[in-house]
Amino acid sequence: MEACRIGKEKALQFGASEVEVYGRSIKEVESFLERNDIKLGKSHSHAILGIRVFKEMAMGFASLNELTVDHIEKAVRDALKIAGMTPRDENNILPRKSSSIIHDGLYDQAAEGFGASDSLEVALEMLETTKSYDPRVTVDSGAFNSSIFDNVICTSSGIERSETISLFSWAIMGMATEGAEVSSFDYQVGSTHEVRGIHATAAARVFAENVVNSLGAKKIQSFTGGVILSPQALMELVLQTVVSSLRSDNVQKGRSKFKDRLGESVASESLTIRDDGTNPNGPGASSFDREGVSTSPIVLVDNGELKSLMFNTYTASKDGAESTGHATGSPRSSPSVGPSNIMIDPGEVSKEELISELEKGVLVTRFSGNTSAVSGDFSGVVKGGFLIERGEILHPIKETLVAGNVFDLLRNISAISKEREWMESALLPYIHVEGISIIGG
Amino acid sequence: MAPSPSFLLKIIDQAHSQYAEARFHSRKFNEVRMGNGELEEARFTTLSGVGIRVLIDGAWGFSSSSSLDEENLLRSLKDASSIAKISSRGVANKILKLGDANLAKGKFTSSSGDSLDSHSTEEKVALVREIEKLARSKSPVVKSAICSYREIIDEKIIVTSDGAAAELHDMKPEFRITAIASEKGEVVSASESSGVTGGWKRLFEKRSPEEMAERAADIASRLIGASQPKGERATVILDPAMVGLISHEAIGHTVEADFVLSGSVVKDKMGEKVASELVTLLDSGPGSIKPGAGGTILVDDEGVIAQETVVIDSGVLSSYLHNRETAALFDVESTGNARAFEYTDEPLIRMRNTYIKPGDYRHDEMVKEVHHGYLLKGALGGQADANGEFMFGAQEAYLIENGEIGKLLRGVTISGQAFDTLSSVDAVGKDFGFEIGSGYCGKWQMAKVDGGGPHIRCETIVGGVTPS
Repeated sequence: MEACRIGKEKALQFGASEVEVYGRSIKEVESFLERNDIKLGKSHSHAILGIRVFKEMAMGFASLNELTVDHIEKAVRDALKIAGMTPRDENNILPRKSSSIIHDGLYDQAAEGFGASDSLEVALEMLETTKSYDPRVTVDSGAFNSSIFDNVICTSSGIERSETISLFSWAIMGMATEGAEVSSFDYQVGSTHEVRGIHATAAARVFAENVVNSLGAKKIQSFTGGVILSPQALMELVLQTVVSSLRSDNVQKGRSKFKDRLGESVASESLTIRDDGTNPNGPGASSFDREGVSTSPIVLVDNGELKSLMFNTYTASKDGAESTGHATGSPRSSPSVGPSNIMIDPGEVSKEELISELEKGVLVTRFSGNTSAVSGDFSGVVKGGFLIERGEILHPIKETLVAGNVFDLLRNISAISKEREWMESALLPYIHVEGISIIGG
Repeated sequence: MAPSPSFLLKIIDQAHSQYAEARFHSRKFNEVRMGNGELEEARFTTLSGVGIRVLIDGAWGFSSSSSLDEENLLRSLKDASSIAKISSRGVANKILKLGDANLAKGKFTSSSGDSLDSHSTEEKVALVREIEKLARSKSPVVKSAICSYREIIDEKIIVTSDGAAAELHDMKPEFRITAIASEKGEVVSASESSGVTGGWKRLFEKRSPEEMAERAADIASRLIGASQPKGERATVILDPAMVGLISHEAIGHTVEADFVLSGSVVKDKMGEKVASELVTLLDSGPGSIKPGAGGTILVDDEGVIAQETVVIDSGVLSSYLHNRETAALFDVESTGNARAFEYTDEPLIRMRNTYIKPGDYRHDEMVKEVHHGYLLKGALGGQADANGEFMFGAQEAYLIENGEIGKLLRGVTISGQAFDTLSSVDAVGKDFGFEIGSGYCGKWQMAKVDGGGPHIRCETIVGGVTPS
């Protein structure tokens, strides 16, 4: 906070009309996996300060990691210099001070004592889980990370907030090999704010199951049919485009299909999408956003109807609206707009029922392809997928493409599962969509 | 102020380790981005510090410090050492030695004339503003545009306990313009970009910013109303950007030695024919075939001179991409592929400039011989798998019928098995370009990479909405 205050004072002293200083310090230990073995241990701590200034309604930004008074002064001058060249914009304003509530569940004191040995132990358990599951599994790489973040903000509009967040996260990726056959690549990730929420071995087991199950994949014939998207495939294929379209900046600039659609139906009635930065189960949770505005739950799509967009202070000012607490980004860039924890409401059927009710189609575990966030056109390869006929999973598939449009897909959702899984900072179900073009190899 | 190599050597001299390395890295990253006449980003950022890596009892430990004083650096060394010792308790296959390498000593500069510093920030801001506006003025359907200029200016000092001591200077500017066209609820986008290693002149050597804006606007407006292709296996002609992407994504990743050891599809294939004999594929640090590629490094982050590595020699697999650890396991020299993105990152095996060497076909000959197929231009990103399956998108796809280039299609993805695709190459063009230098590659951390080649003709699966 001290460095933030120095930055604020210097900026005002050197001629800024408004200033925001956002700082983040990180203390982390990490164990990396590679080739079924421990690869490297890492521990370090560092801090970064981002200074945003407005001068005659023009914006400039600078960031630094050497937090001496001299360096802070130089960064302030850099930010002011660039503000002297950029266009004036009446929406360049800072939010006013609001509440200073700190949400529970984002910091676990036990994280302070979580050291390199603990991190190594979890990484070894992840390896052991895959090894004992099946010797054909190869962990190409993986990691277990324990971090403590201190986020601090101080602005000329009166905001002074700080928060400590602990986060444990893990990732594991690789494939299974049998003779000359190499399976599809798979990766699993997870995270928690609390030591007791560390379930890295569960992710390792899912990874091992997925790669082993995808051995023996066969090519299939092309057809148009049903597709069940796993939470991971839903994230890769659909979510990025939907999130991009729900960003107010993209809507304002004509980069979103949701432009002028507020209050209209944009998806199947079964689809409700929320964002909740207060949910401690998601890694995207925080008490305040990148501008110091408190986070709060919001419904974006309600039973298929477009209800709200995500705003930061700039885009809200442009639309005469209030910030929804969706200023995002690191201290190394000026605030952008984005989600915290995106959540799709669960449906009423089980994942098993989704499969058993599918006449002919494909279960997509992962999607690797291109989706245009603007048009929604997608085309890509099914990874770790399975052919389903008459409600039965027949066999894993390979060299199979799916193509279509995300916005059409949203309207064609016919069922959503009860089960949901966290995929990074998104809580997602399995969904069933009909009428997808499936192209065999 | 950068520390001297001798000061860093003095620090790592105190490591009781098999090997130690210290890397000072100071990075300036500046960016201006505008969209629809509004400023989206204008920033000067600096990030500097020292990353220290040690090898103790067969295990790696890494730590970093933003303070450059002796006390803090020794603390980082101690942290790296203690975490290496802890890790060694869990390492099954201890690292006994590191591979031989051509260690770098002295100063290395990969920037060219017309330094970025000699162009003022005012000029850069004004350029972005004008070009963004220009893109929107070119067509009534282009209602939105984004233009960005970025520059990465790096200064590094790398020392190792076995003799590397290199000082590096490097500049990598990038310029990108995206035009977004919309009509009757349909929205499409097209981008043009340049990313190089070197100065201002080199950034706009191939195309001026105005030409890029015109091209992006023209493509976006033509993509409106374009249909998608049938899904089919077909003959395709790939432009240098697509060739760069296939070389990087589909081949390059499978020959990274760490990935080979994990069981990539080319494990145990050294010396075997893996592609058409027309194909010679390299991953080059200096990118000497055409200086200034966006992934250029002269020295890697283990202090090893970056090689011009021939990965596939006339269709035969001839080398993997190595750091010093994997070089020892394969009993070869390091190819200089160990790269770290920032001072807080440890070096990993990464590509540099990955390309296919030109052949002897003229472009018009290549097209004329195609009865039915596609000409694909502009890489849209993609992904490859451990088994060599790849997929990536093309910004423009033109149908070729009876040797004639026809209508523009959109939303086209190609996929296949990488080595099958390279085995199907039956024509390699005379031309050459590095074309994906404004991109980054992610593998735990980012890396600036480039790729390219001539036009090539091969067979792949072409994806579209309607199954055949």
